[in-house]
Amino acid sequence: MKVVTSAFISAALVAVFVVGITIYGELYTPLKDWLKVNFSHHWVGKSVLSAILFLALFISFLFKTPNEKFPNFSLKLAFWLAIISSAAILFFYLYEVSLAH
Amino acid sequence: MTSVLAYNLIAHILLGLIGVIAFYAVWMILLKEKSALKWPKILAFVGTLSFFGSWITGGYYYVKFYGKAVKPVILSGKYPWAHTIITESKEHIFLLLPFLSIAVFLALWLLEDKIQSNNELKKWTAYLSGLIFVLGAIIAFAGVAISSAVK
Repeated sequence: MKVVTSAFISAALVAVFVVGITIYGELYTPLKDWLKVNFSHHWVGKSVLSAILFLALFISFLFKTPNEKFPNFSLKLAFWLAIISSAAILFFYLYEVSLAH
Repeated sequence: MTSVLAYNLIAHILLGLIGVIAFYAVWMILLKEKSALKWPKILAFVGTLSFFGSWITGGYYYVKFYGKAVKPVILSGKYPWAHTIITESKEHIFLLLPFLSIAVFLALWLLEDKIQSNNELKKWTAYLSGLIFVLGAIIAFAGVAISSAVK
C-alpha cells in the first residue's frame, strides 16, 4: 500500500514542481540559463530534475507515509494537482503572449 | 531532416498514441461496474512504457531539430502562438504523464484486490486514467496544430 501511496503523492508533487520550474524559469532568466548550461536544453533539465525528484520523493515517502487502508486521498491529490498544474501552465503561456501584444 | 530524426519523430508520435489509447482502454474498463483487472494491468504497463519511449524520442527530436529548424519558421509565420502557447504548454504538461501513469500502473498491479473491493478507489483510479487519456489526447492534437502551423 505504501508503494502506491508514495507514487501518487510523488506524482502530485512533481506536477507542482513542473509548474514552479516552468513559470519561474520564464520569469527569472538565470534559472533557464542554468538549465541550458547544465543539461544542454532547459526542457532536458526540467525532465531530468522531475525524474530525480520523483524518485527521491517516492523513496522518502516509502518510509514516512502512514499505511492507509486505501490510498484514496493521495489518488485524489494526484488527480486534482495534475489538473490544476496543467491549467496553470496553459494559462501562464496565454498570459505571457497576451502581455506581449 | 535526417532519417534518424524522421524515425524518431514517427516513434514519438506512435508511442504517444499507444500510451493515450492504452489509458483510454484502462479508463473505460475501470468504469464498468464489474471488471477483471487483467487487461487494465497489461494496458497500464504498455501505456507507461509507451509514454517513457515517447518522452525520450520526442525529447531527442525537440532538442536536435525542433528548436533549430521548426521553431524559427513558426515564429516568423502567420501563427507564432502555435509555438509560444501550444508548444510551450504541450512540452511542459507532457512531463506530468509518465509519473501519473507509473502511479496508476503500480496501483493496478499492487492493489488489484483492493481496487476490486473498494468502489471509491476504483472510481478514482478510473478518473486518473481518464485524465491521463484527456491530457495525452490534447497533447496529440497540439502536435497536429503545431505541424499545421509550419505549413
